[in-house]
Amino acid sequence: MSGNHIPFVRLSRYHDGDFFTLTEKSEIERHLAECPECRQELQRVEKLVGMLAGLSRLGSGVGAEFAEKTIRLAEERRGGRRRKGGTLFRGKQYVPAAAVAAIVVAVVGISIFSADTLHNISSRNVAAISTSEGNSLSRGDPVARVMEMVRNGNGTVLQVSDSYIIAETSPENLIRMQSALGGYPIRILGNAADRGVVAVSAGSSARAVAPGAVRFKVLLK
Amino acid sequence: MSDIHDIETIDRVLKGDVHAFAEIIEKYRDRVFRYVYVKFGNYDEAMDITQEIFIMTFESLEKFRRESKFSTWLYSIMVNYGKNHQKKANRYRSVSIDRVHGDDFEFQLTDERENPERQVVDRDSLRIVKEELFNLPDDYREILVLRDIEGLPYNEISRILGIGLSNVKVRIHRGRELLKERLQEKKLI
Repeated sequence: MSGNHIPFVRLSRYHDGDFFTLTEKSEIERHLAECPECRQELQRVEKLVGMLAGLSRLGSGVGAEFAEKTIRLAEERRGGRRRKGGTLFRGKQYVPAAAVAAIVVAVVGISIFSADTLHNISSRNVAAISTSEGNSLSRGDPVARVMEMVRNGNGTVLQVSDSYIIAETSPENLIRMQSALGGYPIRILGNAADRGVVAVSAGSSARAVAPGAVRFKVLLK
Repeated sequence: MSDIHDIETIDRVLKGDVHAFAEIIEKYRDRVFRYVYVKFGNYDEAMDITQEIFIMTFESLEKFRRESKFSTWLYSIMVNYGKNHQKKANRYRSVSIDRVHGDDFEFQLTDERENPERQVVDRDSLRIVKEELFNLPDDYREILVLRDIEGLPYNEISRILGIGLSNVKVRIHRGRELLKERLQEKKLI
């Protein structure tokens, strides 16, 4: 080893106190005592590890409300599963026959379904749709109502904040929701996952969406 | 909050005090976020995934058999969720636009108020380290977060990632070497 320099990987192990034997440790230390290049390389290891440790100061920047929202969302989802399993809600959900017929018409009407055309297509069909929710979303807690509607449509709530909810659901359930949402605008984030197309959100990241589902954002304010 | 404190908190949650789970989230939120953020490189996506990981942990609490530290169990959920999310994203050819066009997420340095002058220098260096870390292969990036950012011991990393100890060491030291070479090119080291 004295003729050659100590490889970086070995110095990195030495830095962590990870050496095979005490003899190996002594050998490395003897070399370091007489080799300025290897001492400098060891200093690079120390600096590198120190800088990485500095990234532990990187925080999410969110406050206590994150925990509250996360717990609320977890409870909502748990509640939804209980309802589906019949623990809390044993009766069948009542859906008027007219609503079923209207949804069927809407689904047939959007057999070729794309993010660009969703808004127009749904606007044409929404007027004809009568749902059990009606316009009741405008009453009570809008967050709870949106979550309930998403769950009832076998959808998934992805994110909740004071100003918006992001969720995924079937196209037909989304049309029902648009009808019931009244004054709360919906922004479509993507719907082409079943064709392997990436959905681009209103933020900056591209996300995959579940096959057949539409990802959307409900603006609450 | 020690691991004993974690266990006490979990017991409270399991007995019905669900809001006690906020203590767990508060303690581990930024640690989970850092791992996810470095893995996926996008702030919004990282926050979504962080939230999902805590929801999954909350839902699985009854399955925690206390054979390991709670943090090890939580990190295992975090790693597995990250892997599954990545597979799903790859299946749909999802590309993080932030990775392509640069991340506009500003550092949230937890001790910024204590020494604002020093932070100006540190912020620039840390940004370069963060960017070069993002550019490492996934296996190296992930393990350097666990080892050098979160400071976990080799054996805990081995359990979290489900890989052998020798593999853990190889990835750590090779990952450091790659990162060192890149930071040397930037004259930062």
